[in-house]
Amino acid sequence: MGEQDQKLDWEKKLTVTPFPQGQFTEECKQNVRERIEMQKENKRNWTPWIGGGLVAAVLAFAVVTNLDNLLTSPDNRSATDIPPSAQPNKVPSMITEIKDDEKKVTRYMETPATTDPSQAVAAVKRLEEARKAQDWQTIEQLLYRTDAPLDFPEGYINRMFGQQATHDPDTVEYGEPTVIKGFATEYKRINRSQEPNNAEKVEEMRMKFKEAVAVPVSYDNNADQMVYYAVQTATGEWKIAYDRVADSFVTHKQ
Amino acid sequence: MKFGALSHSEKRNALEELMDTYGQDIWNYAFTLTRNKEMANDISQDAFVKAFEKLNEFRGESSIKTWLLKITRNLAIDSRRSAFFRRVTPVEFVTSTDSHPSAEKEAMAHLSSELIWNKVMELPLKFREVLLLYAFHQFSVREISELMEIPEGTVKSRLRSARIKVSDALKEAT
Repeated sequence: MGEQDQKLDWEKKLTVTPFPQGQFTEECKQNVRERIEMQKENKRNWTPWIGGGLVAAVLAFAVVTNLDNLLTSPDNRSATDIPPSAQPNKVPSMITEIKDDEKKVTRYMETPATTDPSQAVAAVKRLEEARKAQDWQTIEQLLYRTDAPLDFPEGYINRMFGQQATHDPDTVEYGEPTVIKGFATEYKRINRSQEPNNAEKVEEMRMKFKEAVAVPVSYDNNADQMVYYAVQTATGEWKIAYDRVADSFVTHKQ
Repeated sequence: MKFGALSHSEKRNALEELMDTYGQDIWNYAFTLTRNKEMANDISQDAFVKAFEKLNEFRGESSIKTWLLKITRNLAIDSRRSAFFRRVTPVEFVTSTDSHPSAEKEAMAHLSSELIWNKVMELPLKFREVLLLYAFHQFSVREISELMEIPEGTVKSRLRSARIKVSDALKEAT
């Protein structure tokens, strides 16, 4: 292990001083116990219902299918046949549609919606300018108030305010038009080429994003690989998003 | 250590032992990854619930501590991606709540530890995590490499960078 074997003086101090924050308390343990018992109870309560539930579901499906056949004619289509986008006041929520077990695919940050793409870019630029000017009032407004134009992710905030001195060679330059172009170009290239490895990702991107217009706002040093974007979604809103899928479409260094 | 096919009550006993032995380590690691107390509470609890569910699958290929830390790590990564990990304070700076009256020398030594912890916790995660696994949790480079699923060379280079960054920061601060 070479030089790593020799612990530095301050490192030795870390080993002899207690971790300076919080504890895994008795309350934490109790929460774990209760959750496990609750799971056991749920399992016990649901097991007898599973068999019956399956039968009921099959019967219900048969009934609904028949009813639907009766009700659906070229001139009398059921509401479920209308695509969500065509239903007034019913915008599909991508956030709520993403279930917990799909975490590893893509996650979106909820942000105040805006249909004006320029607001996403403008917010990034305003924050950058405020940081340079040390204008803390504006910074606070942009980052933390409920009326903040965008919900800047923690990784981005860290990079701007906590990790400026640790410039990472992989860091993308956020908010730069060249990056927008780079992203769009790369997306289109992969989209056109239909590379087998990326077909699934492209399809996913196409479903989620209306346009391949995204402004990388930060390389997340902490996560080491994810990039945050201001992305226009299929609903026309702009959100701060990050995901590994999108990451694969970006050339980190422009 | 292997658990094989345990009954519910046997698993409960094993869980109690794991929480007693590794609870604090898991919490510390969760905090290292998130720098947020509430999240460290949630993640450490989630880790033990998950460990309980998967206990029968533990094959003893790594130490039980490494296995628990790996669960914690995956949960923390998921949390970081979740929509709820948003408006958090960028860094919960380390502030000691201890207020033992002590001699000036002890106070200075204490302050110094606090300063070191501050500087370590200010590191970006990829450096902070490696450094604390090595210096605080006493993991070897190989163990860190297995836990984080990165090459040993990467562990070493991150460790080197982390040391340089903290050393420089300490020099600046003193």
